[in-house]
Amino acid sequence: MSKPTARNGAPQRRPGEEDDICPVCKSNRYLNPSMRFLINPECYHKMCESCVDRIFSQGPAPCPVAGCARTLRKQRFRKQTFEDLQIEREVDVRRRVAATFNRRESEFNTLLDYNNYLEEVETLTFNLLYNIDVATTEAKLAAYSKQNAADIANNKALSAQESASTEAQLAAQKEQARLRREAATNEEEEERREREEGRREIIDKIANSTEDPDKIAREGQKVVLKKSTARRNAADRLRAQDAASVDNASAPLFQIAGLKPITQPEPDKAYDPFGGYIIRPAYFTLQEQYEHPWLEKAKMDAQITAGGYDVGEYRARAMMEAFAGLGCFIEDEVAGRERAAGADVGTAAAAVAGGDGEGMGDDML
Amino acid sequence: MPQLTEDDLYRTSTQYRLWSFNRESLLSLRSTTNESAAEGVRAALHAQKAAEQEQSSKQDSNGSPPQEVDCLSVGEEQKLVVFYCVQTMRFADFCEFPTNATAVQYLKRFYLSNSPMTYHPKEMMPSALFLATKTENHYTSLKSFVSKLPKTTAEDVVAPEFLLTQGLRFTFDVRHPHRGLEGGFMELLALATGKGQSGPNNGASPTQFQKQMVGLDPANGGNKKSRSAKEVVQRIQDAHGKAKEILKTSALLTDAYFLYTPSQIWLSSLFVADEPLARFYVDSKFPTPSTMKPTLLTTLGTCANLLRSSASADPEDSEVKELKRIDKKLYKCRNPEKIDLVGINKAQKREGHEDGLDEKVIKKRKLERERSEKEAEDIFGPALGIKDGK
Repeated sequence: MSKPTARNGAPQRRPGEEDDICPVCKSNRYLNPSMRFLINPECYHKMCESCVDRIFSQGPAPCPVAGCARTLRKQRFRKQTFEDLQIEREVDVRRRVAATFNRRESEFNTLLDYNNYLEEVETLTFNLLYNIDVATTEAKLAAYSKQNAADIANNKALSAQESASTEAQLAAQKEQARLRREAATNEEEEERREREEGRREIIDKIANSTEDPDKIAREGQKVVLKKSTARRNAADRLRAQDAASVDNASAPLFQIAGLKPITQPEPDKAYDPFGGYIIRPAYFTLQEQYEHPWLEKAKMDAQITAGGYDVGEYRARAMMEAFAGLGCFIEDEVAGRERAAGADVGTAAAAVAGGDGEGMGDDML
Repeated sequence: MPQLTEDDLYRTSTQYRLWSFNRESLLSLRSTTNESAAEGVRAALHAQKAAEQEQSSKQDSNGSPPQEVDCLSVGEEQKLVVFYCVQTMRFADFCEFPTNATAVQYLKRFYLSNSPMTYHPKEMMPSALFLATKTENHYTSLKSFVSKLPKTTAEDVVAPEFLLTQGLRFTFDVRHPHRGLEGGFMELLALATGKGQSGPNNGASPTQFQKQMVGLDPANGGNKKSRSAKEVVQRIQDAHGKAKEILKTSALLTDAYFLYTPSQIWLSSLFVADEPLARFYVDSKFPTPSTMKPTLLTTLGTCANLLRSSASADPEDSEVKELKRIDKKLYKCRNPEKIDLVGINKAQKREGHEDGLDEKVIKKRKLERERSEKEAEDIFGPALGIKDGK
């Protein structure tokens, strides 16, 4: 708590007083009623808007507060949200950490793992807040965000999806695509620029030296080519490094234990109306063709076939009904069913209907 | 993977699970229904008489001793139900409904657990037919349905409907043998023309079947053997026509639907129509000696006998006389509490069934409600001063 205050340089004042006088130019609200105070998240020193305009309009400049030599940019000045600058800073730090460490509970195997992870993140945050081991902590943060870029982006998209509508998600996707495109155009642009530069160099050399122009041109071309291949190689190497650092899980700076392996959901099986049963007739084999005067007529009749009526369906149904229950000998089976008695719902209901069917009717009326 | 045969499929139907009986259980079910209905009738008549006596005893006290009521027997009930089944079929023919078979089965099922003494079949009949048009996907509006019936209102048709569905235990699916017959007919024709195969158990070639069929004994004592495949086809068509007729009448009027499965019923009807043909067909299904075949043949035999013994769809004079006698008897032994089905239905709809409420209370409430409704309709409220008579 004490360090930022010391950097602030000024002794503690009452909030009202501090609000009204700019610590840089000492002008106060009495003289300038529209005075607004701004802060920069770099050092959280407060100053009035006119000071910011005056000092930082020309570009980055050191912080005017005595003892603070940080370079500030005008762009990053903003209005403070919280009265207490400590809180302002804490919120900023937490926001930054949370944007990187955005794992969810569902990603962990056990609650214990998740809690360990939270603890670790909190330690990092605490270190950043109270400036303990800042360099290592920042390195860890960077390493983690580099290793888990995909997961972070994924979780970010997920939370965005949850908080905002799908539209917002689409916008984010667009934004990502735009960034990618921009990177690609930048690369192209750079390449073009380099080629241009190389050519100009060659022309300059030809103009200034007495050597054989053809030779110079050839050499220059070589240099340009070398440069572009080198650049391309560098880009490739960078990409490969990125990939390697993502792949190479053996030596990460920051690793989380207990993450669930991501499993792809299995594709749905084809719907089976019979729930896995096969219906195999025991008494007949269904044929493609049957001699039946009516069926022949139906097959030709546009009125019947136009609606999608399939004569084959009728064939199958008629044959099935012809033999459904051929081997059910009710005389024997009913006797067995009644002997099996009470457990069977059907017979219980039959007994009710038989025993006091009249009584049931009375009740309902 | 588990396999299912046609029999397993049939065993899942409600017709098998709830509406299949053997002869003894069918008989005992009917007699218990008859007994409980008779008891109900006696109790209701006693209550009625007691109420009458109470009234008359205020004037003079020589009330006659209570007489024992002569209730219908199980057989008489059966005859009556069958007669109304015939009526249903006639009426369905008249209206050109193809749903008569279902309607008849609804009536038969309903009168397993209910007695004609409680609910008269004449009142249930239109309702059963109307319900059948709905369940068999032959939509007819209530209005047009009623317009075809003499002396019947829409309420008469609808009032017993819930009662009927209750009696059917909310199972509306009736498995008929008619389509099965068509299937068998199709297959027989295919066999006769030498294009068919009998089944997975029989490996004989189509031409073998054709030969066997030509060599069959003539049907029902005839002496003319068929000589060509063409004649066999004709013979099958004849048998088909006869069997169809049997399924339309006898199968519906007897208890065949309760005792046998649809495929057994249509095969039995084929037995009645053309026994050698039916025997050949069953043999072709079971070429190797199996335990099932003799059981099946005896079952088909009893079923065929049942179909032969069916009551005629066209009752003779003596039968009509008997029916008239039963109807007269029924007039005396009807349950007076259940005569006004429309009224009961209305009361049920308006009041729900609140137990322990007196009829008087219900009536009073109804009157009050009607009065308040009338007053609510009046724009300026009830008239002033009428109560005072000014």
